Amino acid sequence: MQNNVVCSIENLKVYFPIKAGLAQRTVGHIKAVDDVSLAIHGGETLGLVGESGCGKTTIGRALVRLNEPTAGKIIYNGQNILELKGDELRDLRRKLQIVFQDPYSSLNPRQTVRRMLSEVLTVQMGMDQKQALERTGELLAQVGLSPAYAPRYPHEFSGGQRQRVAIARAIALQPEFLVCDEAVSALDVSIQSQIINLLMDLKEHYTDMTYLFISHALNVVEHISDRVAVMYLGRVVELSETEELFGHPAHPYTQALLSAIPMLAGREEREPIVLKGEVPSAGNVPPGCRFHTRCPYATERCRTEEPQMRECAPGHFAACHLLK
Amino acid sequence: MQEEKLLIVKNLCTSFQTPEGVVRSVDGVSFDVERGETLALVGESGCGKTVTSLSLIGLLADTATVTADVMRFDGKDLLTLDREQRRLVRGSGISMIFQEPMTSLNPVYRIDRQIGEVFTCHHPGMSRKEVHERSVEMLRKVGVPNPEERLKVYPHQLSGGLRQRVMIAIALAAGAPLVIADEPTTALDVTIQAQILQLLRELQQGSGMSIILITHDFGVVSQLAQRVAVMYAGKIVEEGSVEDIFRDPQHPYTQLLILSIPGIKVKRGGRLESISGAVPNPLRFPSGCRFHPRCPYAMEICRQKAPPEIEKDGRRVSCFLRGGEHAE
Repeated sequence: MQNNVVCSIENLKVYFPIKAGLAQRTVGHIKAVDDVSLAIHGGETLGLVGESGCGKTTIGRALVRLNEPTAGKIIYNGQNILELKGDELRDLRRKLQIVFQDPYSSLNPRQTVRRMLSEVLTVQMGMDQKQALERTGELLAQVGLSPAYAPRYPHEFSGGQRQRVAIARAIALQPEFLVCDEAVSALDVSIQSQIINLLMDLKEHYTDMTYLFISHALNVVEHISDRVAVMYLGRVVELSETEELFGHPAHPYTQALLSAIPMLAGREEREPIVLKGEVPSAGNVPPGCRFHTRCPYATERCRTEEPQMRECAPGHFAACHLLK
Repeated sequence: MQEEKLLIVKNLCTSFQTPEGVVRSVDGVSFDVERGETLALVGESGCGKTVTSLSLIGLLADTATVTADVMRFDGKDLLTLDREQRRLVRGSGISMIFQEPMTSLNPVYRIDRQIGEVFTCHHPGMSRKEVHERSVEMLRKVGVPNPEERLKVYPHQLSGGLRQRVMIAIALAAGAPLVIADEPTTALDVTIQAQILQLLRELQQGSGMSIILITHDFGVVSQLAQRVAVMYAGKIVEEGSVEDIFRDPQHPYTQLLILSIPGIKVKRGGRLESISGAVPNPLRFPSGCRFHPRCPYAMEICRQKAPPEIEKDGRRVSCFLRGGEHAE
């Protein structure tokens, strides 16, 4: 696999203030993303998994500049995208696109699909109306919709079709990098598999397109990703190639997460690790290792000292004191 | 003579009057539930699985018409009960765990009132002290930490996992022998889902209750159920033991459904099976077999006639591919 880093996230922190009282004074911070560093290689699909509230969506949104980080850098092709403004930012938007989870709320209900797509093409690609309409038809065909659907409004489509429209909008600008934020989570299984296949086909069609695939559905992430990063409470706790991660999870949280996927009959029996308790609030992060409150192996050291990411096998990183 | 099954349903039909016409959401569904077993009703959204369960418990709007040849629960004929008798079955006979604990708990009442109500309704003479004690005991049973304190909070002060535990406590409080769990873990994270599934298994072992599990997630099915009924467009297309259905699905819909889930039979990065098209509109179900427009093996007869149900070796399937061409 190639090792050209196209996007490197360095010590990214995204904090949201907690305001309280009449004066709305800031009384604390939700540390949604708390010091995350991650390198994404060109052409790969990096899966980002974790439970709700772990910060995975916030990272995806920070990448396309939909929320402003508190600290850190995101270097994309040598540029720190957090410093871009004006025309430079607009150019960046063309290269980085996002598909959201809910196809019901992410499409403008008052715009036809034709208008939605041709607007993107005329504004960003400088096409004239006629070219834009032609390209709209091509795009719809590419995501498996009939070009005859172009004059329709979003409410005239089913959930799976809407998600196809959202994908068409995202790939209209031929982006180099696509963030898929729970892009298949709201869909029924038979439709979900259609969209997963579509995303994999697009990748073959536009070679070198890089995906950041954010999802809580571990089986989907295992299927589609080359590498997977596991997040817990604002931190990446483990990162590895997919087969290595699913075969030899190193971090106790990853082990518990994987054993919690309900398995189908016929697969090998595993002793399930059922974690006690719940994810602590990101507004009140436990000291030391963030996972120690739920970890079955926690020691005194885990309660006081925060573990750093270490390479436990070639290309396999995890943040746990128990690892050599 | 062997003991009668806990629940017997034959030819259940539920239709709704809508401005666009009559919608037959459930159309001729038959199944039964043994004491102590878990039956899963599986299918995609809109297939009628939730309406089936709401018909059993009598929680449908007035626009709904429910008919059946047989609907017997614990020796009682549910079809002939009047409103009041029906109400008594709910809770102490059949109870329900709903999908979304945030919308099914009342946001303006504290937890104690919502659990306590079950006891005061089903045991009118119970003293307040006893209601309180029983409520604490119920919360402890479903694994809520510090139950005394949790009784005094409002639903929004609890996390999703705790809310679902409270829902389960309310559903089980009156000791119903049959619990319908409608997508009990869909809104939860995987580690919390694992906790809730383990809890349901333990509670079932302790009390011997039966569960009808409604879900679209085959993974959850394999964790909890012994038998599965697969629904499509208002009908049960296939039923059998969990092992049989996963090992050797007979109906093309079940086969494709299982192959379309990543991580089961398709290897990583491979092409997933998908089912072309979408679930049909219940106002205009296709003629013949309702799956034929999406079925890769559809034959001429599938377009014309509804397939008969073929029963064999403890499983049943409705598909012409499995025989029945000359049945009539």
